[in-house]
Amino acid sequence: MRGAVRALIALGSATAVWLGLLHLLFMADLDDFFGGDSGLRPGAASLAARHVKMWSEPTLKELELKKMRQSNAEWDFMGRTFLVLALANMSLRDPGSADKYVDVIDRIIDETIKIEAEHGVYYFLMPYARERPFMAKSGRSIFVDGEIALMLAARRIVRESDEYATLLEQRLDSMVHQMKDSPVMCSESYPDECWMFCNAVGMAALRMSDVLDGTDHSEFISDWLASIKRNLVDSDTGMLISSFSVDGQAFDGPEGSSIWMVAHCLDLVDPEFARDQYCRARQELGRSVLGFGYAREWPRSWQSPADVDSGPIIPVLEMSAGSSGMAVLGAASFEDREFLLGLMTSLKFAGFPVRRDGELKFCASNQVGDAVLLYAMVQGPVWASVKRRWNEAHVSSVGWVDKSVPVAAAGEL
Amino acid sequence: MRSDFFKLPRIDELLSPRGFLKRAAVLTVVFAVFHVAGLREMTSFLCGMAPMTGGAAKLSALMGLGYVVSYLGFIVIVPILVIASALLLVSSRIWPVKPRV
Repeated sequence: MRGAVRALIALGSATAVWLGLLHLLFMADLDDFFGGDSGLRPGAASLAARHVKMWSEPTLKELELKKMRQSNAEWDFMGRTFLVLALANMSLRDPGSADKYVDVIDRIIDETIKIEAEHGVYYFLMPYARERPFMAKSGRSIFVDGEIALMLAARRIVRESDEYATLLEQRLDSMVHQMKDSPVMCSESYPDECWMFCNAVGMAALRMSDVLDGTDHSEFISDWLASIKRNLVDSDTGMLISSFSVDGQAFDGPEGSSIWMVAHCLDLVDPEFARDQYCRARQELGRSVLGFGYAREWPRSWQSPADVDSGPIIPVLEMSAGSSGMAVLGAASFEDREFLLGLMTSLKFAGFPVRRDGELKFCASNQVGDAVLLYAMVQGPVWASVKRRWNEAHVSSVGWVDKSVPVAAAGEL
Repeated sequence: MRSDFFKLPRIDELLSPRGFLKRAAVLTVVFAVFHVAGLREMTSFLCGMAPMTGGAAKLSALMGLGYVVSYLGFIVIVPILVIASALLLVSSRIWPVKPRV
């Protein structure tokens, strides 16, 4: 009996020791993936290599997209958006390779627009989109319009294109018109279902268009910000809710798979509010256990089941794969290195990375997940370019100053 | 094959340094087999996506689940068993269990 007690004590002690040390085995080297304004870190370059190859080999691309579409057609579309955003940033980071990256960007944009033209908006939406008509007469989805606009704008930030300028203008005109008709100034992603994610993406695209085309939607953006702050903020957490009806009735509360990207996009139109949303999300959703970082899908004050956006949720910890992946983008955008380190350590532990022939992929992820991670690793230059150009054009006339740009530097512009 | 292969181990054997190491070895072999078989590629079910398309979708997700369980066994349980067995060995040297009279 004494031997059994001794063995159990040994097991308990060993468990305490090993669980305390385990994260050291998977501690990520952030410098392998993140950092700097130019060039590509080795880890990011390996992750990018696989995506570029995928868009160069039709068979590989078809297989990957088929797997994702089997679960969720949205992933096919979002994987394109995040990859275009990543490639645009990579083009600015590594101008010597820009031709190659822009070529892939153009292939993605052209194919996406062609598919939409041939199969309609429903091709990239989940089947329930067909169950009832859109409230807006145009029948357009801001999920599709906003992300295509963002892709077009990102491409034009890297390299101008008259063809894409016209396409961008058309998308944004339609989007703004539809948003103006909505009581809460938000457009539908699905019939009578608006998503903050999609509307924030649309706003980022609109600001990018302003710096590219010399237009000024400041007043509209300001009204939109006032509307979402007034109508779409969860009273318990102060975070923006994720989905709601056209008239602003909440469907889902603040949601991890949405809020990190929302904060990232808001950074272009209201940096202070964006940081506020990131900090709230970090507090409500960000967690660290034994050196491993992760994110919840829902705050404690909002109970909802796992869904296609959250991915499977691990009980007790409430860890969500979708939210944790997007949190990498949030942490990278707002330079939260402590959280980023925890998240990347978890990714190394449970993302099942495989490096082969100079390519990196995370087996526990999929193409859209890896594209989000790649974008998180290389983001920065496109947003910085938009902010700089906006400040150059408006700092003296409008008085709007991006507070993330040092005051002295902004004053010099 | 030994006739006692399928017998449940005795508790004192199970909770001994040798018992811990045996279990650690089994977990290591299971993980090694799954890893060499390439089941790491099947873990995309963790993000909600079936690793393979068509009729193989469910089976591939199950194989991925098997990989994850064996991986956790190897990464988390095996080191614990090894450390525990070392602790037991050291403690038995320092404070030997006196046989009952």
